[in-house]
Amino acid sequence: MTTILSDLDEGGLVARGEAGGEPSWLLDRRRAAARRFVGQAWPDSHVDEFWRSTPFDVRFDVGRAIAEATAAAEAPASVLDRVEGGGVLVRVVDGALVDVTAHPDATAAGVVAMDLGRAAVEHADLVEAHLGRLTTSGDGTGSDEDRTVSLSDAAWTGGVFIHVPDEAAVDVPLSVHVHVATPGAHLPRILAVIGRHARATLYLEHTSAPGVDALVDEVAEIVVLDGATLRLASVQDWGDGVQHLGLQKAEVHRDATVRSLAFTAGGATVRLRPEFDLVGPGAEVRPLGIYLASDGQWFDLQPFVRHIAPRASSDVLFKGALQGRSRTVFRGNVFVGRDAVGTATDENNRSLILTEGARADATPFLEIECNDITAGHGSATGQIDARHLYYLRSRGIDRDTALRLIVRGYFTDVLEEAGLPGVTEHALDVIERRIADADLSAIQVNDLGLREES
Amino acid sequence: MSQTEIPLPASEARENQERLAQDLAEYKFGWSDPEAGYAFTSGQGVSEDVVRGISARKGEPEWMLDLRLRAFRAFLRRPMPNWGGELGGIDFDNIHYYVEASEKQAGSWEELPPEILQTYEKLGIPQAERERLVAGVAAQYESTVLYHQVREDLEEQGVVFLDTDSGLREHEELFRKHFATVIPANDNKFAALNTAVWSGGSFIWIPEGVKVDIPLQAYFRINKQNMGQFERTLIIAEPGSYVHYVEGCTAPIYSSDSLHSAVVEIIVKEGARVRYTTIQNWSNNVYNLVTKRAVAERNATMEWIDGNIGSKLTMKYPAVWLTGEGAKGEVLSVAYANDGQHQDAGAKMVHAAPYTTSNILSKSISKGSGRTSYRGLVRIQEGAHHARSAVKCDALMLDEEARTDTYPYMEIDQEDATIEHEATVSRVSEDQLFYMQQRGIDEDEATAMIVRGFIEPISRELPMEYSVELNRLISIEMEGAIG
Repeated sequence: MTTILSDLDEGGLVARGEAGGEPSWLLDRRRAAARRFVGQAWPDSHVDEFWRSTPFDVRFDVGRAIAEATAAAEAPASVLDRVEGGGVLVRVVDGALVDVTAHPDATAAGVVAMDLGRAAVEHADLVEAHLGRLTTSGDGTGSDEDRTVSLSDAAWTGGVFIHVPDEAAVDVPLSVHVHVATPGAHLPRILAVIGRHARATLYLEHTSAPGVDALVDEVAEIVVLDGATLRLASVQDWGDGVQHLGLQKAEVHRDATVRSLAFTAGGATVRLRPEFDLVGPGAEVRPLGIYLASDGQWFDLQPFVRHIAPRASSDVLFKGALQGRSRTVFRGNVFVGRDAVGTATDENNRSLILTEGARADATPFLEIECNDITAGHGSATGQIDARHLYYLRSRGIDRDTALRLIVRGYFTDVLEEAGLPGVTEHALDVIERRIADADLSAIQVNDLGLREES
Repeated sequence: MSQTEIPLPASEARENQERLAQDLAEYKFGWSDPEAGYAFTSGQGVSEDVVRGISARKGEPEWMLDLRLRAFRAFLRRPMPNWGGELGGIDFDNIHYYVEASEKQAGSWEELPPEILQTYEKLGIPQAERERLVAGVAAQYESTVLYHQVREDLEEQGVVFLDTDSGLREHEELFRKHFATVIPANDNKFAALNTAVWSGGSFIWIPEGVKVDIPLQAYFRINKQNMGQFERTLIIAEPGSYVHYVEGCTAPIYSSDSLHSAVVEIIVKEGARVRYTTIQNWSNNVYNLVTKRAVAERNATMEWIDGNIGSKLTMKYPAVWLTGEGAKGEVLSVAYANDGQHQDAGAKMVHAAPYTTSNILSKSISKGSGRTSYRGLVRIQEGAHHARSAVKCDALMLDEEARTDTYPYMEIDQEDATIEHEATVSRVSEDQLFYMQQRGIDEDEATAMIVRGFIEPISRELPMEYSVELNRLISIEMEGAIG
């Protein structure tokens, strides 16, 4: 059965679920989402503010069929391979969960990592309580979300459920590795519930086989309950043919802490929405992002923090570098609601434009409905400062090495702060490789500062 | 001139405003009695016939009528903006698009009604003119300019300062060459509407090398209920010239809404400098939807100083297109939103040439249920190498229900641009109040001092009388809410 995304109808979607033996509440949800989907149009960049910078019809091809699970292709290496002792690895290939590698520490702590469809039966209480809760508005109409999310709600395949029980302290990373080997549309779905006062590290890895053209529409819902601590990473290592629509929405409860890193270096188009709803007093989030865009790539990064409860804090920092004819969009949003007294928030974006032809847009938005807060935001776009280069060269370091050091150094502070075993090393390797491939002679430096001083 | 005047208490300010509205209704010059006294009105609503009627009434050349009609069709075609503020309250069919207040311009101050003189007195203008502190003054009521004066020595140097209608009549060639070139007829829905029904405004031409060292002033007032004011200002500064233009706006309070939709176009030629200052104090039922844009050529400097105190909703983003190498743009913006007001203000800087620089400083204050939004754009086009831009927006929230937003857009197409943006949001802190109260300053005065300090970086850039006026307006606004 092939189904073109644009032609999806209610019946076709539900039949898919029924074939998988899903419980009736889940089929009802798929049905409701399918109705929303049918009633919605694809995003229109001329009308929808959040799509303003990225033309949907140009960058995303929805005339594709949903990819069918095939004999599992070989998945490439996971960042967990770099972690001593490994971790829990869940592999999703072409819309199906293919295997779960357990880890004794996680098993002992009671961690659940399994297929989402199976979990809807075996852990029905948790899955029914949370699945789709963050993607549909309170009245169930889902009117807040666009068609790309309704699509996931209705038609997801290859779902993963992660549960870390209350009080569990899990130090080994839990990784969901989504790999795309077949062309077409892929709809992976992740639901993670981090229990009260639990501690966990969750990675979302994204890779594709060379030369594969695909659209990946992925939604991850992450519920972080009272007092829990989560370190979160999303690694976008797609090949050149992948278009990625990603919503990663975390709900952060009382006194819970989330530190996240979105690392984006691969993919033709990546539109990633790391979102954080701070619903409990004292919640704290540190959304970090680094991205490196090369010729032909288009990254649209939209971190969104909603301060709903009092005395929560957030501090967003995204840093990017661009080379060749690439385009990046930073669309940051911080919303501080009426009741969010005592909020502290900051939002920052830095873009380093390395070579001619790149374009970086920055729109760090703030919407504030409450006055008892501290808020700030900033953004800066520039190029390598000639003074830094001069300093290094005056110490006998040749130009190419100096440039590499500067770019590496630009990202290192964020990577170090994120402190994610395996991911940090992997990201640095990717950055090194990109710089090694880059035409260093094309890198331009800004000599304004140097000229002013001399 | 005394600078130590105590701000009017709110009740008195309100009375003043009511008295002013009342007095105006009785005024014998025939410009405020709603229907009977007007020399000409197009009636309510807008259509091609209304547009033709306005053009015919003014005896305009054919090309202007054609442009108006083209713009009118663009206005009909374009959708209402779905961003910014709540525009649902505008009823285009209920608006008077053209109301001629008087058949002739007043020739001297003495001919103006005392209420207007009093208003000017508050702004310090008549005295300034008497003492030759201003270079020229224009006053517009409803759609037409009633008073216009320019200093003789400037006239001798060739400076043209006219109302826009006279500008078209007397300098058609110059006018046609520049009109609607900075803001095309179909630029946006409200600019299109303005182009279709414009009337009044200022037309200024500064000859090469002439520096007008004291400001030219204009004063706009909406007096009639359901009035739309669509003034159109065109300023052309020839190479090496300088001018500072100042405008103020007010309207009495009526129960139904009025629309002010002006268009201001400025052409700053090589090495010239233009400074444009607005203190907008429309009453709280005026929709103030204004398009202001300047082109700055090689080594030219354009400065917008924009104060938004009044209106129900203001959507205004003064823009500078930096088209010549080394051009500079600057926007200093103060917005104050009290109960029920929404100030959606900001700035746009488009860097289209190398070595261009821009600077935006925005200060917003929201009080009561007021909402301020900073909305700005900095675009660096490809080829505009060595461009530099710095944006700073600060918001101060005085009340629990106040709201503030910051929507900065930065679009950077050139690798060696240097762009910085910063924003802060704060409130008057307990510490600050405690400190001042401890020194015997009561809470209201302490808050007012903090607000004055907050906007000081901008108020110090204003001509003195406007700086005083800005501070006074803000004091009145603050007291109004406290009382």
